[in-house]
Amino acid sequence: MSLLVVNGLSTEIRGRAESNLVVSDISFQVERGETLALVGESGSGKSMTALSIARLLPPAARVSAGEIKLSGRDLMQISEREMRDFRGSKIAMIFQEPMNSLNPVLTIGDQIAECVRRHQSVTRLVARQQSIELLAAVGLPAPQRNIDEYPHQLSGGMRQRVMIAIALAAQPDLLIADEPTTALDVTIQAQVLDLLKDLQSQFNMGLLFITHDLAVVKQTADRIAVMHQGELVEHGTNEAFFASPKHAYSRALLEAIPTAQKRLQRDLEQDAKRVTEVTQLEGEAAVGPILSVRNLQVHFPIRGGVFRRAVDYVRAVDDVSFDLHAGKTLALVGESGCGKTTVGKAILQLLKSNQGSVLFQQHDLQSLNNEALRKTRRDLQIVFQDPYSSLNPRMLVGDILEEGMTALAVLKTAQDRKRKIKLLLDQVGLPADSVLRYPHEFSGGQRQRISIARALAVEPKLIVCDEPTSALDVSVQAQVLNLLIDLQAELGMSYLFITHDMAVVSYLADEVAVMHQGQIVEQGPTDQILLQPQHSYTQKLLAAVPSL
Amino acid sequence: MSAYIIRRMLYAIPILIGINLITFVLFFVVNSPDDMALMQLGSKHTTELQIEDWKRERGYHLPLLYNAEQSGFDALTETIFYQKSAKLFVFDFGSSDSGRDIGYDISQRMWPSLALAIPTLLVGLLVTITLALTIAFFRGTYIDYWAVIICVALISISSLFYIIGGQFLIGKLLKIVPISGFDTGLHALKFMILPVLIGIVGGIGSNTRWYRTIFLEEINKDYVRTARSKGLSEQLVLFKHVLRNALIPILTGVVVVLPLLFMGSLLTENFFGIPGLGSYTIDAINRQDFAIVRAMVFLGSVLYIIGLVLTDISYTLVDPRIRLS
Amino acid sequence: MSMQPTFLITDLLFFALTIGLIAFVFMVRKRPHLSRPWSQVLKSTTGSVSLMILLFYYAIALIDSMHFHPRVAQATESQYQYSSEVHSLLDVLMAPMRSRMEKTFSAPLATHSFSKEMMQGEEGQLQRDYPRLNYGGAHLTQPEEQKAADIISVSLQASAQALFYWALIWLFILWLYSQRNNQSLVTLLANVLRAKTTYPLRAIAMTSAILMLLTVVSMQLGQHYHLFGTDKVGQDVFYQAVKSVRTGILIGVLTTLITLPLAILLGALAGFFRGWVDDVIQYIYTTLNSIPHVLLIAAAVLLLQVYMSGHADDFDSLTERADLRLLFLCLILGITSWTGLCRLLRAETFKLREMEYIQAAEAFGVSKFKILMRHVMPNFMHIVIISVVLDFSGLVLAEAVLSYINIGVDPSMNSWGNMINQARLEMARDPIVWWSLSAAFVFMFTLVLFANLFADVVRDALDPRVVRGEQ
Repeated sequence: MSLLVVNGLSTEIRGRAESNLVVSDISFQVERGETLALVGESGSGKSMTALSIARLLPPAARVSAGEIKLSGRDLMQISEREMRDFRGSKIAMIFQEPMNSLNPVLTIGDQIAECVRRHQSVTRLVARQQSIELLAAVGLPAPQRNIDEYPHQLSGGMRQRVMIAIALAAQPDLLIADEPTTALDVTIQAQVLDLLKDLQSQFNMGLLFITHDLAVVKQTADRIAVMHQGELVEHGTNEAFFASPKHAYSRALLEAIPTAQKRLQRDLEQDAKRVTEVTQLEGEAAVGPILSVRNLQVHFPIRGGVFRRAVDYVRAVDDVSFDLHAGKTLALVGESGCGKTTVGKAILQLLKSNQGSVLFQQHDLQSLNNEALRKTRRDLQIVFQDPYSSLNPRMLVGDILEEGMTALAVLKTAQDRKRKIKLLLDQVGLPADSVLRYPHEFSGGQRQRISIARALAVEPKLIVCDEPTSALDVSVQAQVLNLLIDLQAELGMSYLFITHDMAVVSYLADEVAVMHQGQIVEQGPTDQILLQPQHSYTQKLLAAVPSL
Repeated sequence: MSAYIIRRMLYAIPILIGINLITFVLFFVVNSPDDMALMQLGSKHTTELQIEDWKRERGYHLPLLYNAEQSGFDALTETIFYQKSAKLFVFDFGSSDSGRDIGYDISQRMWPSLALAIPTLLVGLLVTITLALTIAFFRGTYIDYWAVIICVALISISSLFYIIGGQFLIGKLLKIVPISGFDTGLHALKFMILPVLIGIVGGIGSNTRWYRTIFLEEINKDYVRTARSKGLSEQLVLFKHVLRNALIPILTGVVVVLPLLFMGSLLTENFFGIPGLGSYTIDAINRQDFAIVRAMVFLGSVLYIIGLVLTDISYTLVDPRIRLS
Repeated sequence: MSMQPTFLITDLLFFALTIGLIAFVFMVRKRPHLSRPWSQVLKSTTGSVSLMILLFYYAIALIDSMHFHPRVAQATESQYQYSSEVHSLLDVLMAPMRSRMEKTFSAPLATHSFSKEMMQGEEGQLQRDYPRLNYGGAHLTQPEEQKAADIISVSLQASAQALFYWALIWLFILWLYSQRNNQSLVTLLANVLRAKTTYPLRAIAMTSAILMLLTVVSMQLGQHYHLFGTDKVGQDVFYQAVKSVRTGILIGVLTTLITLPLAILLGALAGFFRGWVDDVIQYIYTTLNSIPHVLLIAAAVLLLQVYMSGHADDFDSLTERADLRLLFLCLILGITSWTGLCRLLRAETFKLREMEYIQAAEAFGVSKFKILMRHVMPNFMHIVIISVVLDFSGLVLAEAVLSYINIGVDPSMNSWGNMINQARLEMARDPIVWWSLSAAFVFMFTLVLFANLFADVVRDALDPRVVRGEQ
């Protein structure tokens, strides 16, 4: 008998007028000791499926049809009281955001012991002892101390380990992990994935692994189920899926993942287009780099004491130097908190640097006066990460695109600016009538196109791209990356591409600089860094990246 | 941590100075002591001499900031600012315009105020938190819907009507407890029941609605889902997880008003004839006794600032995220 | 000209505000992202019903703000003399209720006085009895027998009239509506009856029916009776309660109008520039906020009284003086209430400042002033609106409490607070004089309740972060 059998499950969200089917008629099963990956992009209904199984749907949603059998018992038929006995002991869950998923005012120990004591009649002391053992099992460095700590005292990876410890507290048969590593850095992700696999075989659990990341799936899953708009479009073993995906959506999903090979293909296709340009760019390269950063330091004060004087500094950027040549893309890679975004903002003079120089076209930006700096801003633009906070929701798209041109006096007449806006929208692949619409009418990918058009409006020579695709689904990410590459080929500007994603790096960067704790540990041509990393951190980073 | 609290305390000093200056400007510069004298004595048939006497009796005859007739240090101390405003810093309130010692009056009258305010606050807190938690338990149902409507209706009733209605209904119709008055010791109890009850009922609407919002905000957080996924019952989730988090904003919201309890409730004390600081203030306003009003403005501000500092301290005690950072 | 228009300061401010509101409505209609939440407000039954009732009150206040000096005598051919008294359009509409003074208390719809008086009987002997009222039910010869029937027949006639006009008006509105939406009138009517229209037309129609009935019936009955009785000096309580509407509304809206610019400006500056600007602004509002509000208001009003008693000659009339005091009260209420909004806006600006679109604007070198005007302020305006609507009801309630402790509006001004203040002294009478209190309660409660309900709907629509039970 299968551990979990889902048969014809449909889940709907009740709206004011009509109901919205978010999961429609899906069926799959999970065996003991097996990992089933439920894959899909945002809004595909994969999380709703997980919550339906645990009967933890938000009040507005409900299961409208189907049966969910756990070890033969239909979970839809049992009472809420019985279901509560099942949760924790039979089905356990891990969620995406470990910070939000733990109660901030209870100690780690309280939160684990609570689950232990709910499902076993043991004394407080025994429960505590068990909790310490669980913490040791999930690899916390000092379980005896950690047990009395609060969630905010631990790092993100540690918190997720605590979540896993809670999930294991009553030795469940089925573990549902809803994007358990999405919020984590890639090196931590690798550790957590390893831990999950270990514990799964140790406890012989069934694992329902929900994710959007196909690379992670390839490493962890035995079988794969792909969801798209609430439906299960493909279901098969790991090997079969990656060897020959059957459904068109699965194929599109796989093709959308950026890799070095795809880049070569693409380059070949565009060879003809590029040849002329490359020669031209090489000529410029001889003149010298368009941007050269030397010994850049950005320190943030830590204030303390009665009078809030700076008692220490966070060395967010500590002695960073690199060059970027015209028409090229330099990727600044690193995990969260390594200072890569700070570098980008310091270059744009949105942040004050403490030391070092930023030479842009032979001018030191830090020594320019306000007027000269304003002039330079024409050549230096930025595209941000969050498609939702990067556009003013109260402004028309036309006004957003026009703002930079007016502020920097790029085009004098309104007529010219209007024409330019039309051209820009065309360049980024948006309809011309977008001018009179508001940002909320566009999807995430479209908004990112608007952001790009906004930067392009002033015809910059260098664009700092700060994680422009990390908030997007993989298929949309591919479109935006291709757009950036095409624009570069067409307009010849340089990109400083800030990212944490190695796949993106390999797809579009000419050179790579790897950042760690405020410093660049290694830099060089993309192939060299990716294939023959010299620094130990780079090696660790690359080893942690799940590959297809 | 302690540095933070010390900083907050030091911050109170410039604020107190600011308040002192505001009251000084308001009471002695915007309106001169002459105006006050005229107001008290009546503007008709009042001679210069009478005004001069009135001012001298109350110490308002001195110059505002600098006394040119005196020499040395006295030039600064023999002024209205020093005698009337600066002395407030050491809680020397001076005497009222009718000649009574304000400091003594305050020390006598704060006890009835506290006797009224503390039970109102504590019982009220218990009642409203219980109600709000119950409503949160039934969230999304008709009970929730109607409870919110009733809360809004209760908020829409002027506090005057709570007092008038309560007094009329209980005191007059049912004749259970005396309508107004006060006594010492345990005898005061029968006089306190009605005002405390009215105080609680008057606060139910707004507080219950507010706490309900806090509870619902917490209930929608991810950690509640985690708690449910452990198999905990809805009651345990509410009491152990939600209540603990929600109590942080609720309790710290209460701490701000704690010191102000000394000041008493203006309306209730006045209506029920309770000799606390609230009715003291109202009487002073009605008699246009500027000295008392000035003293109460300063006292109230000091108590509020103490409340702010206490809030900061209580946050660091209650919330581990702040305590341990 | 039979009158000479005159404008009190509060009238002018109130008219300016009304024009501003109308301009705001037109502006919002043109911008879809602004009008969307408002159409959500109107689509909710609670929202549109509350808005209607608020508008009804607002209209009364507006009519009551059209002031003039009535003409008293003709001095020469072309020169008229005008009374120094100030009347409003509402006084004209309610003329019988304003002018028909009784001697003292009388119960609602009474024909006889509330207290006994010595008077001469039919045979000339002296006796203590309840005298007939001068005006209340004066047209009846046998009040005991005729009163009930008279009241019912007047009410029925008035109701029939009201409903007739109501039906006419609504048929016209629906006809217009059906023309615009290319619908047949019959289908539209059927939809309205089944409450199947986009906007809750059925609820709106029913609310307007109730308002119309209440207005017409009370005006008709008011011609012959004192609907809510009379007070100690014999004035019609219903008239007082209606006149108090203007005071309540003005306190609610002028206060925010006066102080809004201050809160918006300081809040935005503090949040945007931080550093010492923030320190100074925070210091100002923490200091002001530290002073207990009631005491600050009391101190300010006491000082105003001192000033006014010292400068009694500066005021042309009692009305003008009371008006100035009302304005001053709005000002001082505003000073005590802007700090909360300022703090909210400061916090919001702090958050907005980190938004990437503001950094993008900085990367274009857009000036700080333009960033504030274009990117910061439009994005916190919803908080301003929510807080204005939320504060309104609190201010109406505050007026009553302040008037009760004699630091509210001028005692000569009609206000619910003054009504309660005067009536509570009669609480001890037996049988109790309940009508002044009840009238003030009904009028105030209705306004505040619907203002609160409206505020809830507005907040839900404008603030996406709001927590709702059904989520």
